[in-house]
Amino acid sequence: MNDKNVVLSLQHITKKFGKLTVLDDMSLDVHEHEIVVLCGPSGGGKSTLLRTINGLEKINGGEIYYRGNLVTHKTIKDVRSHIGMVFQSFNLFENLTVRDNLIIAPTKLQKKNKEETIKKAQEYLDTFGIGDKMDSYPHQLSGGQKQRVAIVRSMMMEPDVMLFDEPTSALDPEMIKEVLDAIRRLAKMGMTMIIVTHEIGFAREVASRMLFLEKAKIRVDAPTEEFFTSVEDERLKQFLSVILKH
Amino acid sequence: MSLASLKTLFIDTLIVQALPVTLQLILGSFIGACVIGLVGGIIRGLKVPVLSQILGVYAQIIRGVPDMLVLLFLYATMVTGTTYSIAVLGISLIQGAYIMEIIKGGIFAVDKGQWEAAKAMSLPMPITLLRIIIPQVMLVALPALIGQLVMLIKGTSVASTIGCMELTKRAVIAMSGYSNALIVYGCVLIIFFIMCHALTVAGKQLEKYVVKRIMGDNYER
Amino acid sequence: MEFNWRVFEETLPDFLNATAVTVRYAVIAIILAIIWGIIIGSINYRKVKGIWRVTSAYVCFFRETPLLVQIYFLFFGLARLTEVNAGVIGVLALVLNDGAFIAEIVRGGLQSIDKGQEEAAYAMGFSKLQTLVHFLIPQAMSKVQDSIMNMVSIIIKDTSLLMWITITELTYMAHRVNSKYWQPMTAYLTAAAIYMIIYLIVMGIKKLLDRRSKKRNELSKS
Repeated sequence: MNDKNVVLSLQHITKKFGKLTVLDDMSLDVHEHEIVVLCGPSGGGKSTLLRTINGLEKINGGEIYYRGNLVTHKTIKDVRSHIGMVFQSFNLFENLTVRDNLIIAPTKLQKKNKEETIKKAQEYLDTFGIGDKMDSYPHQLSGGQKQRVAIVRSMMMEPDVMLFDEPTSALDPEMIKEVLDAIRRLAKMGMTMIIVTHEIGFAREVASRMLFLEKAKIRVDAPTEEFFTSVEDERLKQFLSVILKH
Repeated sequence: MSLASLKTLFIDTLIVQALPVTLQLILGSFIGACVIGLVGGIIRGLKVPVLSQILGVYAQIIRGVPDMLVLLFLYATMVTGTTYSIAVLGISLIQGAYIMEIIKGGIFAVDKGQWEAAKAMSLPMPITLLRIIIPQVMLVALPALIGQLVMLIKGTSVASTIGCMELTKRAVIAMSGYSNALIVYGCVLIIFFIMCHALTVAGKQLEKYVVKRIMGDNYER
Repeated sequence: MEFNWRVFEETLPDFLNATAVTVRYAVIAIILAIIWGIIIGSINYRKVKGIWRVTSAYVCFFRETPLLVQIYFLFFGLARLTEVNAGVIGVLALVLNDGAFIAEIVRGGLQSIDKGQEEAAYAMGFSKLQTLVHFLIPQAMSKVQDSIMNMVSIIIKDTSLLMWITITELTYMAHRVNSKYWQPMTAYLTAAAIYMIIYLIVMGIKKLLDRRSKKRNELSKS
């Protein structure tokens, strides 16, 4: 707790859906500028873990600390505004233009100046190669464009950490690269990120640390190179051999 | 029947005397039904415990029991109130239940991800509802709401049976003078048809306009 | 103003008789309205030359005018021309009105069927009418059975308006019992409870049909 570099700290998190335990006594510290990739077979609890961090799923046990402060029912709203989340299915607001999607939180929530916010939105859109989409509605965009808008929407809040929940799983193969490139760009900017993904090659490239989740437990937690080369774990090797074949 | 007496019937009795009452009934019940429907629909859509179940029972009762019985019951039990106000109350309660279920269905139809994104961005509930959820509900619910409004307009004719002096009741009274039912009730049918059909046609245009306003160009469901 | 059990006991036989009347009218009207709706819906779907403009105008007009006025129009209007039987007119009004709604439902169901079905049937040598009767209508009906069941519950409620043309059905009985004893709670709640029982039975049947067709769909998939 004393480490100033720890952005998020999960202590003994437990989560159950009915009788099924999806997170079983999980603990994890995420440091500043760290890029943590969660992988593992489906049903292992990766997405749920991500969703508990910003309170989309309530936990049944354990504690979550943000910058050393316990996250409670009262502080969750404030904490969320420091945590950006990118969803598998984009979840752009369908009835709002890209502009309104991007400015709604900064102007309505953080009460920022509208013109400046729009200017900033334009800069981000340019950076991610979708500068001409300001007036489009989500249904007029391709999947890859939607996901990049969703990333920009999170960035607009100037987040401290960003969470990615399988950001490329709903995309056609030819669009995956443009979204991964966007995440690479964030990595270069030094953004702290937690990413759930099946793109194992991409993970190896950007991650500073890899977690292997299986059966509601963190089975392996290691620096990236070590994770791929020297960790002796039967289940992990099995998982990697299957996934690397693809 | 002479042309002069037909004119007296159609213009003086039905259009000048009765139609304003029917329009007032429509407007009054429309407001009442929308208030009940919107509030109830949001409560049902957000699954507010207890209240949402109670409203569910209310919706089932309205679906199961004839409008006629509801109106007669209110007429017999209401100690105060004119026939007009009792009719407005009755029609509001009946149509409000249907509108409530339409709104509820619309809220359920909004993708869960829209709620989650709003939550993850910690948008306050009023902004989430007003800016994101309700526009999307309108998008899916508008055709059904217009259909329900046609039902409401037609439903006002039942108010005649408790003595409300609207179109149908005026026609019943006029029957004693003219006695040609085909003409008297035919006129009433035509007036109702014009109102309902105009609404249906205008509703289609409104839908196009609303879809464009909410979702921009070239939106397809 | 509360529920009077004495009046309830006294009038229950009358209510049960009236329920029988309601059910009888409802059953006849439901059967005829469905048949009528299928015929008109098919004509409008196929746009049968010469008549579909008339039939679709009829559907439009009857859907957008009040049933009560239609009943008055038919009952008092036809009474001038010939001798009429209130029961026959009542059923006629219900069939014309609710049949128009069913026709639109059926037409929608027919339209949602894949065009390939029709072409395949023609290719096998079936006539247009045979294709409609043997292939399209059965499929359309199973697609729209939920909406049809909702119409069934609406027709049951619609029979209440027949009280204004002298049919002694359930709502009429509630009205009469109330005028006689001045016990609105007892009179109307008894009738409402009976309507709810009928409604819940109809919804039960709807669920049963639903489950059956789901099972059938699963079987055909595997």
